[in-house]
Amino acid sequence: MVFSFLDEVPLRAPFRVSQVGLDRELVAWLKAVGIEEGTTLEVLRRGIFGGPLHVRTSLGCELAVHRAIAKGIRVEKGEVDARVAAASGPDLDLAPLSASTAA
Amino acid sequence: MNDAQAASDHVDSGAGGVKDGEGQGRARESSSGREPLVVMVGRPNSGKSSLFNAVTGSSARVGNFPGVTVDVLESEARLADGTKIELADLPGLYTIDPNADAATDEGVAAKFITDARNDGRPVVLMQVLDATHLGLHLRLTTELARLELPLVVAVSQVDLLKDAHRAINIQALEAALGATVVAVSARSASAKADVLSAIERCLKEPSPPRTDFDPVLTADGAIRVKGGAEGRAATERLDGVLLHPLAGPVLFVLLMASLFAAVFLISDPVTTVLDGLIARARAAVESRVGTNLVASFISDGLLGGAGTVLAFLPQIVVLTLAMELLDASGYLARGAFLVDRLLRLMGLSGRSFLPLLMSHACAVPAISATRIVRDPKERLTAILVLPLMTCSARIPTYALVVSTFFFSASAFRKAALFVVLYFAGLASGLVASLILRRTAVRGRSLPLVLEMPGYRMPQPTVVARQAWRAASRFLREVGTTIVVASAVLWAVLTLPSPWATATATESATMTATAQAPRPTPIEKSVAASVGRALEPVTKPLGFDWRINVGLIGSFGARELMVGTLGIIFGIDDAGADPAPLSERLRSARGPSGAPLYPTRTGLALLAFFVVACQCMSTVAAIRRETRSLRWPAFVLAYTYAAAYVLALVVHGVAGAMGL
Repeated sequence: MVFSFLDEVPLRAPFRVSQVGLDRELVAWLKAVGIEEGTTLEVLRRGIFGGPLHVRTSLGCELAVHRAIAKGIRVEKGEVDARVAAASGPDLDLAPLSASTAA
Repeated sequence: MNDAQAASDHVDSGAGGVKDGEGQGRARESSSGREPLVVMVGRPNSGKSSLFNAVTGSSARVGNFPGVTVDVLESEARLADGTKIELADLPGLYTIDPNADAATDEGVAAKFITDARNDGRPVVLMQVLDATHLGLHLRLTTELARLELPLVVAVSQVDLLKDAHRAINIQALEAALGATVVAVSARSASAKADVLSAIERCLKEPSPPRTDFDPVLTADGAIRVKGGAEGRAATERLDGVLLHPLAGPVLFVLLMASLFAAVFLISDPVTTVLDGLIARARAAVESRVGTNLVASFISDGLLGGAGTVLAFLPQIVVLTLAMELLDASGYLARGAFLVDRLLRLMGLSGRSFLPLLMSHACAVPAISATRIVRDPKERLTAILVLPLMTCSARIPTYALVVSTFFFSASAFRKAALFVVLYFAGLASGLVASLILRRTAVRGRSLPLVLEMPGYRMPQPTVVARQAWRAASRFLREVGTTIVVASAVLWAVLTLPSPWATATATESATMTATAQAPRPTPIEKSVAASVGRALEPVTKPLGFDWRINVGLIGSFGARELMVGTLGIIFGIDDAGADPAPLSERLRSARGPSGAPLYPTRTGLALLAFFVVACQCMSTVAAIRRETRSLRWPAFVLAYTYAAAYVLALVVHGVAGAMGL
């Protein structure tokens, strides 16, 4: 398992958050917007001149994340956890539409 | 669905067009009444505003809730069984943490719900969540469930879900949450009936929801995907261009320049028409009342103030429309992403870019636009520095001073001076922001963590209603302040001063090479007395009582400087054609025969205008947004003090250079 921080990871590769090493207020805030331990993240692009990161979470939410925050998010390369893989998200090709569902 | 359809035949949203005062009365009445309160909550971009608009129509108004520092919209509705309910629309929020900073949207929401519970009336929470990001939005549901209040979950964006070849199982979601769940599309005609029917069901069986569900697994159980992801693919393609390292910033600048141009291209003709209407009204007053003091008060004091209000109104509407379109389309977040690094230099973040841009047209709508800035300290900083940006009202004075003191300069040098003045506004904002973040507004701000929603087609009705609300709020809250300030300024510029002295002494100090200024009543006004009394203070800047009176006249609106100086120097309609006034200022001589206003005085005047907040509309807008007198007073104090110091330095340096 290779550990690094979110601001260092290559683009368009899934990484799982192993630790959010920020103060309690920021940890709570990140959790509210969808980033916590266990979340799988993908960095889509980096802002020019040290600008923020464009990040996609495993729940399909996309965020602009300041690099100072990204430096506090420790990630590990690995498989997306099964629970997240089963979650809803526009990019996830899940089971066929159930007959009992209502559009 | 049948129930909902039946309900739609009986629902009745409350009466629209309630005035502010009446709204306060209604808020008090509601608080003491027993009708249920339905509190709408949801993450930003959940479709909450669209749904609230669909349910309440035009009856929504900004509520007047004690202690609430952001707008909470409220409205009434009647359920199918005749029950009257009150709806309150809270700001978009990510968490309902009771320990959240009271100044944030989350803090406001937590306090609002706590107060509503303590009020003793029945309270129902209605969470609006985005069906296309169900797992994410259900995180907030887990927090709401712990409040143990009856919960209605309105799953919005079901039309987008269908477009993405997905479907939602409402029964499964209802069972998992233990709450009343309804799937709605704000664009659907049945949205209002569907929501009210769900509220009615919840009120009949009020029970708190389950707290033991897992957001991700629950979403998995309720949503199924049966195809590709066209919506996201389109967003990715657009982001590939709009956030491209090279093309992105270029397109951003072009878009913002277009927005800026649109403000003037669209609002200027409307302003001209409104100006014409005011001019006709003033002429009508003079023809009926005559040219006495009463007519002057109505024409110059009241109608003049109304003219200032109406001159701003088209800009407010156009800028609000543009902001809502950018926000609703999803581009606002992209703009913030692109300029965040740049604005960090000012101690701000990407969220502040739109207010800063707007303030180059007019600070008033820009101050309202700071509502998109989430962090309270950053928002306050932005509000405090926005008056320093070079707004369009500064241009007439800049043009007069440049044409007066740089008469013989080439067009290129004059243009370069204008560019310097524009950047001087930005630079002063940068310096002020850096100082403020270390003094009056010190403390940590949340670094940028900003949701980047998918691109969407804005709903015209929602955008139009937002613009209408902005316009009516401006007229009601800022407009009244401007008219009152205009009336006060009329009094000090028109009414005779008890301390007025003979003008012979004044006349002796000025030997005009051309025609002597005609005596005007303004020389004996309260403003003239104040201007003379201020001479010892402003003399180091090179200002005499005449310029001081010009500054007093432009205290309410800086564009009045030229007209006020015109009156002092006996030039009719200097605002429309400043050339004769420019000539008069250049040719004015002191007792020794030296120019009364050398170049260094002109430069000091420019420096003063760059920094001073000579705009009562801006002051009123700051009061409205900060809901205090402290911050508008602070802005006046710090900008005038800084303007004085800067003008003093410029006057001294220019004098040392022999100008």
